[in-house]
Amino acid sequence: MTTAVSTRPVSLIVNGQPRRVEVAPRRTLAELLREDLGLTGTKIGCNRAECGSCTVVLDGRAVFACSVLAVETAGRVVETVEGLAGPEGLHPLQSAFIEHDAVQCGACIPGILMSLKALLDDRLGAGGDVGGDVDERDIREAVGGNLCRCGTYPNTVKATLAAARALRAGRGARP
Amino acid sequence: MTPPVGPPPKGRLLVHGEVPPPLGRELAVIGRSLDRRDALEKVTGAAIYSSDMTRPGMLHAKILRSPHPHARIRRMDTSRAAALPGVHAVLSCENTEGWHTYWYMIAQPGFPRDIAYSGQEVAVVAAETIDIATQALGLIEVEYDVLPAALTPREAMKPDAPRVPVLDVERPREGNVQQPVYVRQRGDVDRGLAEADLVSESHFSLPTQYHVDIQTRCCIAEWDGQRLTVHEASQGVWNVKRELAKSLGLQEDQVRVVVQSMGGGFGSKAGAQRVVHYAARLAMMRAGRPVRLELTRPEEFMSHPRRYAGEVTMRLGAKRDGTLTALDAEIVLDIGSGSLYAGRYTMTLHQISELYRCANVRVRIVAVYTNTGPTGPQRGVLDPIATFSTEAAIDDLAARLGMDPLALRLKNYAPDFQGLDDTTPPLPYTSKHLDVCLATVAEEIGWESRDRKRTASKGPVRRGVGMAAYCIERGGYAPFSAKADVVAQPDGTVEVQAGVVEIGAGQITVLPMIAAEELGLPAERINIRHGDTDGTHYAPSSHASRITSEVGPAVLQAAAQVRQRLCELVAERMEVSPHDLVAQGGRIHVRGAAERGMTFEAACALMPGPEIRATGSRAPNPDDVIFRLFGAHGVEVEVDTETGEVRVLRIVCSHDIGRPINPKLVESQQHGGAVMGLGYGLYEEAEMDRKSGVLLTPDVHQYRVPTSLETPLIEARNVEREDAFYPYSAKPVGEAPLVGVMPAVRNAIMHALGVGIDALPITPARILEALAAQRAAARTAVAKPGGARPAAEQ
Amino acid sequence: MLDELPPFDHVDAASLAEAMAALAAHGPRAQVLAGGTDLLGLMKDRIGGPGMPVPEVLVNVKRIPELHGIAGTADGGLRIGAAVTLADLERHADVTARFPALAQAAAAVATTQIRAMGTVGGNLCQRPWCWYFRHPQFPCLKRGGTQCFALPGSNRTYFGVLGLGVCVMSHPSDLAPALVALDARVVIAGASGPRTVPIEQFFRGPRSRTETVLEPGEILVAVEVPAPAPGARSLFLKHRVRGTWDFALSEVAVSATPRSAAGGNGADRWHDVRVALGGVAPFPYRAVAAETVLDGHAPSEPLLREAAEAAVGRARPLPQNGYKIDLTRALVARALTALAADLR
Repeated sequence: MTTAVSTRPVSLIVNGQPRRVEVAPRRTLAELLREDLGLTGTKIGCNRAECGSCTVVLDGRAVFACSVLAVETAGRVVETVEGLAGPEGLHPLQSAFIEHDAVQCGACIPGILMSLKALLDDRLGAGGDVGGDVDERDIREAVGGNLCRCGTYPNTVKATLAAARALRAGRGARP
Repeated sequence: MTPPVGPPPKGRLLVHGEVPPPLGRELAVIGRSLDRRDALEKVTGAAIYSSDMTRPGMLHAKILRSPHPHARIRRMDTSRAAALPGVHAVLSCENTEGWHTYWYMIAQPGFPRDIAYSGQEVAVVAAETIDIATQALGLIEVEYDVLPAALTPREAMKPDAPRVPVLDVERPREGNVQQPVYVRQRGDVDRGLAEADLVSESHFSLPTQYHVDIQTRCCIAEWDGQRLTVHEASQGVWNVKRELAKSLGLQEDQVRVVVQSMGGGFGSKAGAQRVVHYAARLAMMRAGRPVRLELTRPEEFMSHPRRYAGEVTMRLGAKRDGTLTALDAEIVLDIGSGSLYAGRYTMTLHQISELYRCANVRVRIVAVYTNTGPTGPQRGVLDPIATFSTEAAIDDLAARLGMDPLALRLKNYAPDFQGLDDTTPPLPYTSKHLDVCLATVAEEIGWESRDRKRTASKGPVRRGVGMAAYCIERGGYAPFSAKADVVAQPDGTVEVQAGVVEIGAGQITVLPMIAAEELGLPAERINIRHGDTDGTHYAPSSHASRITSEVGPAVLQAAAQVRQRLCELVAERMEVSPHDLVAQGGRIHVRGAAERGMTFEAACALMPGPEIRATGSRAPNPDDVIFRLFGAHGVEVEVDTETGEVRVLRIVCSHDIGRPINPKLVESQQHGGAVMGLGYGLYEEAEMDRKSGVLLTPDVHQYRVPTSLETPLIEARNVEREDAFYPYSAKPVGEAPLVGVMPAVRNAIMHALGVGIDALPITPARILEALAAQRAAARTAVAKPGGARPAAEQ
Repeated sequence: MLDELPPFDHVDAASLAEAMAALAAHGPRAQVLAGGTDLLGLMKDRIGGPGMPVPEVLVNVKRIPELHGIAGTADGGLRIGAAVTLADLERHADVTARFPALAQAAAAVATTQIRAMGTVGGNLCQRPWCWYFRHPQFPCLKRGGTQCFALPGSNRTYFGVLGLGVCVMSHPSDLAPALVALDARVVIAGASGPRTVPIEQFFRGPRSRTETVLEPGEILVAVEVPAPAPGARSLFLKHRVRGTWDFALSEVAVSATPRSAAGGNGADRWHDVRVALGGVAPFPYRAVAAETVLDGHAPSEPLLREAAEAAVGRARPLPQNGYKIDLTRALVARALTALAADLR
């Protein structure tokens, strides 16, 4: 017995752009991003809030997009991996992940990057100007909710420390 | 006694036809830690995985699964499902009688009436939407004759045990035991045990392990009436192409398989899984409507070809001074409802019979079918079981002899291959530097001071240091038919064309580096066409650590041939001999006179035709030399004796890796192997309900894969030496880093606690139980002087 | 394209009245939606049964003003809205300063992402993590069935050793034992008006199909923690297999108020001792026997050990989880020792 439920409009900000979609209540944010907006960078590894590969930043906090209802994102701000790079080029996290080989198969990477984006924005500020810092423990805690079966964790730590250094040095985004 | 073995024959590139001449200069690309070719697209979210793809008119498929672990389908009626509006096709035993799917080219019945495990596929539906497909599953009527199930090897080996239906090709069996029972021996183990001053017996329980690749299986199959195109999350494309062609009765050139990015395999996606065949067959029932079949995470767990579980009894005979007189391994392997790897049991021999010098060795593997789902290769396959058993048993022996475990290992070090058994002669290894690996690990982990560290630990937290060594066979497999093309265009464009899939180990970074080196170009100048059966030759699936060693030589040979052709053109133009020319720094010029030559592009412009194409072709491994990988792990742990928590403080590894083509990619493999090994040893525990045969942990919350918080930095100090049987001496590295971790951890815990824990994973529960048993045994020993003492004591 | 959630209707309640009206209108077809990290997963797996239907209407309570905010109460305690996220709770300066057990418990829940989404109310009302309950193929007692599959069956991890009955699960909430140690109260909105229930009476025993006393149509509105007595401190310790994600194999929350001995000689005596255990019983377990050992006494090392022993005095292991007794005893001793150090 299916409840016939119609879609409803939702307006939200995704990677700085206002977007408007029509979604059914059962639609998750992960599905909205991937299917309604074609932003397939965010992955769905388990769909149960158990693996972290769907992590996006919602109103500044890392969340599991597979367990956020699309209808509840009205008026909210979402950042995904597609929005990490800016007009000046890659985000320091992205450059550092490439340089320190913190990427293998890549399926967990968008989620990991967004968890770390939330961490670095919170501690250092988006432009590296808030004045805080992150250590190994912070990084491990931030990505504790992101499973990586390829085992990139040691390089994730090194890459993030490097990205934090770059942000604090004001190098911002690099091409 | 083993007759002495001479030095290995001269190493050579293993290709058909002419071996390329040496470069005649220093390496410029090989050995550099270049960025991964696909890293950019992966960090920007631009990489497209099969689950990210959509196709116009796409249908969605869902699978109906048996809830029973053992049953026979008495009646199946899919008519109501097929009649549901929006349903396009249904497959089940009703309409697939006699149909076989193929996995590693081994036939498996498509939809057998016999159910072998809970979760087994019984029907699949393709419909306009997932909802309609799911609704259709609810309309399928299945009546089962539910049968008693044999859920453990012990149950399955009872004389009156139910007969487990087998999902791969029928092999001879006696009841539920594969026949013949695998037995290999060297020398006379019974005599060796009789000659021993001490026989040390150990028993290990090694569980299954699930791959938990982050991307679940997802394939999209399209049939246009002539050709089948499949996008998949697979570790190979050519094998899937052949498997599909065979199961669907198509010519091979009617099938195209494409895998660009895929989210992890570790062996689970090395062959075409049944779901790919289902999607393809459904697609062929609806030309023009692509069929998408994606497994949910619980489905992955249910239908996964997971690692074999094993109960292992090791008996080691030794003299008082530690000299081994016998190694006897009895393994009862739980192979679930079918495993393709009967021939792979020999993997256990490499560890058990080769790691130590011993004239008398026996390995006996009783492989038992149970109603618990398919098994198959997972990173390391059987090597982890064999390595764990051997290396833990060696530490147990050392404890009983009162000997240092490293000293015991070195005492019995085997410099040469002793022959697997009495039928294989001793031969030289291509190279072996395990002794250096052991010394390196010992130094890095602080072996000399390990007892002091342990004594120094105060309170409930104890420190321990342990090590383990491994010997595994990797280096390519029959039929060695890998080929690759290198193509140069008149404008200087170069492309490697190889039917390989990038699974995350760096396959598509390494192969262009090889071509770049041979052509004297920077790696960025080389394109690679990969992951597509159109436009490439056969390459094996990316598993068994085989791509660099199998496809690498083919690429090398092809690139060298392109270089030679270009040199001939340049030589003719310059009126010099081609032998005077070298390709270096983007130019082709006279050796020693860089200004006398031309750019690579200018050389290409000389070509008479539209391209210069060369095909390289891998030749079989020679049979007068032995290909093995060696290495060692050292681990330092802290164990909280009150809570059972294990903290892995350090992991040190030293692998005998030849010379890395790309050091940072090698390091990443070593990290990955170590983390997966930690998972197997400490955290991952699948639970099956013993009454119903249902997997209770089909999720990544209860099946605990290590997180960043469990993983220390992994310190690699590899041993790098020449071995010319591998391209640029690059030995395989994908799996070896896993096998030595768990025994090193277990041995470290034993060092810390004074008790060996012999069932994995070593969870807090097991630690606490072992400590409780240790206390109880100590009380018994105190109460009865001269009574039973704990088996392993320091 | 997994489309694993079933279709359902979503009601955004702007007020308590609206929420309760929606719940009343739809009856058992409707459920409260807070963070969704537990409920949505249950729905994707269609975990239900007679008397536990998979919901067809979700009533979002996250916009209701009364469910928000962490504010001081008249008596110096705190009122914490049920929709406050665990992340906000964890970081709150006053919670960290005066109610450390609660901040520590909030910080110990799952992962960063789940703490950003999960709520106080959701954490207290989450369903068990017994693997039979969570598997569609086992209609257990709590799902309207007639048996518990864990006994006999697999009972290694999220199962109890105390307070067991026909159901042998261990309650997964990390906040619950901390709130018991802090003598919290739960504020419930119901059809017959609001009511306040002491936290220990909020949870039900193993015989019940549900884990809390919330009646159909009722909403958990807030949690109130009274002001700690002068000098009182609290502490929370969780033990799990991995360093994140997992529920507790065992966890302890303790609190005590030190007071000078009569006549001013000797060490402080502990009063109002509370020892609450999580992960070892179908509800947060108040280890009264341990409290009795400690109340009115100076916390010497032998006494703390005696209290730890008393905490597990009534523990009865299931066939596979006996290790929890040693573990819990050790954790209680550790928590009490740490509390003693904190109180000095």
